[in-house]
Amino acid sequence: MNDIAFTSSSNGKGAPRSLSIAMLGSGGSGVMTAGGQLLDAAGQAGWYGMMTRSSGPQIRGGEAAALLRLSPQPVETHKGRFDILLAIDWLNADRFVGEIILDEKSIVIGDTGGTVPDAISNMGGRYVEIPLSELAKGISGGRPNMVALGALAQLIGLPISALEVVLTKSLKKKGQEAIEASIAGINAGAAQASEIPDIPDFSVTPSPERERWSITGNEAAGLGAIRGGVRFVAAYPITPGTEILEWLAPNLKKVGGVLVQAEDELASINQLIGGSFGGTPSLTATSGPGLALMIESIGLAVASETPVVVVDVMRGGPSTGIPTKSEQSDLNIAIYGLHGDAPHIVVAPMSIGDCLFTTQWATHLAETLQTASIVLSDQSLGQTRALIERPADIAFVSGGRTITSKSEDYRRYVVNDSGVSPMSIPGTPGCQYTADGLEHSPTGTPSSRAEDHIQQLNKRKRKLDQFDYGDHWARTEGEGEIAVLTWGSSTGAVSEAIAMLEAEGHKIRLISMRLLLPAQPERLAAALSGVERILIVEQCHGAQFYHYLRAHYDLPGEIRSMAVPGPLMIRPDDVYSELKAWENE
Amino acid sequence: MNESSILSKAELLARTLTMLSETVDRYDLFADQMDVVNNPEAANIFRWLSNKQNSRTQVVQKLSEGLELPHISPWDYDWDDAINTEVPGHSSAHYMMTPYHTLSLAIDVEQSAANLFSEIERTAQSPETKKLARGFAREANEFCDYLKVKRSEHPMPEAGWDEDHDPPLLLE
Amino acid sequence: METATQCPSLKPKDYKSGTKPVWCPGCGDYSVLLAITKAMAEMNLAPENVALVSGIGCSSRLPAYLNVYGFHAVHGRALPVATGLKVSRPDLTVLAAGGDGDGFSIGGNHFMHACRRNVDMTYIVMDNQVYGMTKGQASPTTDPDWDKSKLTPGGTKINPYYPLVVALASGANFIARASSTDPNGAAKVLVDAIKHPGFSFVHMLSPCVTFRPEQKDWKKMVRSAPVDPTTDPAVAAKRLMTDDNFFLGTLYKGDRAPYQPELKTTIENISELDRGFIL
Repeated sequence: MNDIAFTSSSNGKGAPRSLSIAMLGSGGSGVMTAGGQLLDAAGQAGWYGMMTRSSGPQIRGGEAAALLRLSPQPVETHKGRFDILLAIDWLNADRFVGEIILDEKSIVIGDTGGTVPDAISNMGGRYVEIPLSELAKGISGGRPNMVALGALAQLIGLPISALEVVLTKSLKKKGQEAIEASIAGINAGAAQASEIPDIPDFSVTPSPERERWSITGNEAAGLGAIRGGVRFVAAYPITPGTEILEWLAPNLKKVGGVLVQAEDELASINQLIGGSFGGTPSLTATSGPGLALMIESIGLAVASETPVVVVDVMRGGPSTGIPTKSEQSDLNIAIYGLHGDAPHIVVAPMSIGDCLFTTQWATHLAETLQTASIVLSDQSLGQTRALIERPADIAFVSGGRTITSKSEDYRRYVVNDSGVSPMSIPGTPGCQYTADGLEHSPTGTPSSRAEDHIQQLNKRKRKLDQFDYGDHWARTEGEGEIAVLTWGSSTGAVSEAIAMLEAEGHKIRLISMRLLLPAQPERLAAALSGVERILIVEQCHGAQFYHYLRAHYDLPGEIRSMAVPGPLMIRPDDVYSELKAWENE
Repeated sequence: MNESSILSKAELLARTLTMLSETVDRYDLFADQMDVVNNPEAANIFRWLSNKQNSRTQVVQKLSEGLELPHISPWDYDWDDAINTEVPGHSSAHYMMTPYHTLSLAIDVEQSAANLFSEIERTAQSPETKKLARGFAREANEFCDYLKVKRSEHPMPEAGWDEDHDPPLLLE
Repeated sequence: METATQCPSLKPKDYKSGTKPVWCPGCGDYSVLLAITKAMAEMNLAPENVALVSGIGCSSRLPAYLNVYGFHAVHGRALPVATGLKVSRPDLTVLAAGGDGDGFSIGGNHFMHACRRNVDMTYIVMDNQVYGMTKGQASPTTDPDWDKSKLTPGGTKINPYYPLVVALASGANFIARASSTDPNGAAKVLVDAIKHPGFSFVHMLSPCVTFRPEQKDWKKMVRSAPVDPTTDPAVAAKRLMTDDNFFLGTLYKGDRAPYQPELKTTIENISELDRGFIL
């Protein structure tokens, strides 16, 4: 039984035991809503998990998939293979073939009378029909997605009571009738599913009861921003970053901050610079095209030493690319996009929960070092909802950046050992200065003198180079002579692949870099000490991370690049196979 | 300026003080401008003019001691480039101006000032104001004559004095 | 004449920084600088509570010459920087300044939206109908047959932009024109503009003696608009559409409420935000 659903091992190592479910439907079938409810109910029942949305290009009525993975342990990535595929209808379902892999052990559920597309039935799996529409019709206000939800709950051993809790909460506004209709649908689906013969035991043992959060990477980034002190946000809507803004708009209000919807990205980045100049920590969220538009003014933030944070939720590029799918291909522009010598911070969260920490840290670094921080999140982190353990409360001390009382002989860009010169906040008497994107003298007066240029260049570089970034620079785990170097959202797949190999007795190091700029050659050299083989994993066609590493670091031993473009995510099996193949050469 | 509005000595003093101190500021600014464009001859004359004007300002300040001078908002004065020239307008400077031009500029200023004070003397109601205005007009005329003598020490520039063989520079 | 009861404690020159401008002698921008200092002195503004934001261009060098907080940003972006500052720091008096190229060409979209957003600030555009810092190219306000730029031989052959009309159509709350040829009159317009709530636009004629020497004649062409400021957009529209670019004074004063979100904390501890995520 377990061998169907779980990749597991007896010694406690290996990939997390888990169950993967895909729900398909089109044109208002409500699979996204049902998927979200299933995830939350699983959380209620003591499980961990995640849910990713996948959809066609239509604004309404398009085909959609809710991809879930449930587990007694936290999970950071999907598996390629799915245990259960349930389709409310099969319209355009073949578009998801690359994303949803089935095998002969999978169960495929469809509405009675439907026709499974060849592309799906060819993958294998046992086909079962449930009269979803018919059962829904029998209930006043009943809907097929609720019947499907009940059927899935029955199949995976999820208590109906957990679903009732979630539905009562989410349908509160629609009224008691709607709640009752939904629950009736769930019960009908569950009853029907209980009659399906020979269903394997998919049930997951709940883990001990601990506070659990249901959060997306985009929401986590928003919370990280507020925890980091951000009180001013200006932004222009863009997929897949918009949810950061949607979360921030009402929540900033609660903490005395504000979000301004700007006329374009040029305006949003410059509004941040204005807000920050006034002493208010400021952030924006965007995606690749928006970042490209902001680049000139990120240079202004660097030159004028005005802290700003830009969260880039990356999507497939170049140009408009694939807005709803993930890719790690904005690394180059984030690191090298600025004209001139413009040292700044580039960081990347490596899991959904880590979007909180990394955004908070990026804000702390921008504020402390008076520079621009770019956070490279991506669509897969941003738009995936996960059930995670309560994130730790971390507070950074960002003191010393500002002066708010009169100071004699104030010079805004004074050259000192730390490279960080005190920034006076408007309203402070006697410390007026003009922030400038022109090269300037220590007082801020425009200057094209060689001496001023070299002094200010050195100062802006020194403040970043000398700062102690501590252990936050990377996640490093494991030992052995093989290392996998990765970053961002690819970390989940790498980590799980390594766990699979460790279960087979291999020793492999994981190094996922959170701090990408400034480069940390000494730290990475120490982490790679004794390594003979390095696999570099990234979701990007141009191997930007590989080239970045080659440019900034001395890497020991044999090096191999695994650079895979989106829109299909790198899965643990892909990394596992790559490492196995290399081993067997 | 609507001269009939000049009713009191205090008001005339307030206006004269503002006029003189603005003129000092303007000469200082012109001197700075000439420094920036590497025209030391004109810069020196503007500094000298500023000092002269500053001494006159101090005299008027002495006259005003013990009096409460009214505050007059800038827009309640009429002087500006378009109408009056008791204060030199910003547009009267040129980066290649010669001492001749510099002194001519100052002569025009003094001439205008003398005319203005004469007009005030003619139209003012109070004898005290009339007397004061007469004195200011005389001073302006005397300084004007002195400047004319100074100017005669410099040749009048020929046509084409402002020809620059290089084009303007690119900055940004 | 008003006899003010309260004398300004700071003089106009107290608002200057001491940095010597790079502008050409004779440039209109010196008068604008003077007018701004006069306006601030009249309003008795504490220099530390004023911020002036600019973009790139001759006139955008202004902040460095003042003793207030300043931001010399990149080309075309003065208004968004000023917007971010004012929205997050409503206690400050915020001014934005720049030229016709900065404000109407590269920054044109921001101009429209700043008018529309109506944040309480004053935007001064020093219009000389030319790009001075790049050696005299045509700007959006240049006449179509001005042919002195190598970039547009024979002239641009494009109609100029009418900033006051655009400002009105976009929702600016205060529209005025002033001229560097009359710094005292300009100071009055600036005081009115700064005092008026919402987005105030001041079109400031400021001749370029180097690339547009013929603009020296502007001082003979400007005159006070023989009208009072109207609060009626329809009247203002007619007025501005028939304007010859040389009428000075406040032409429109709207009464739209400025955009200023309230910055008030409503929760005791930010950990309250966590609740939305707890299952």
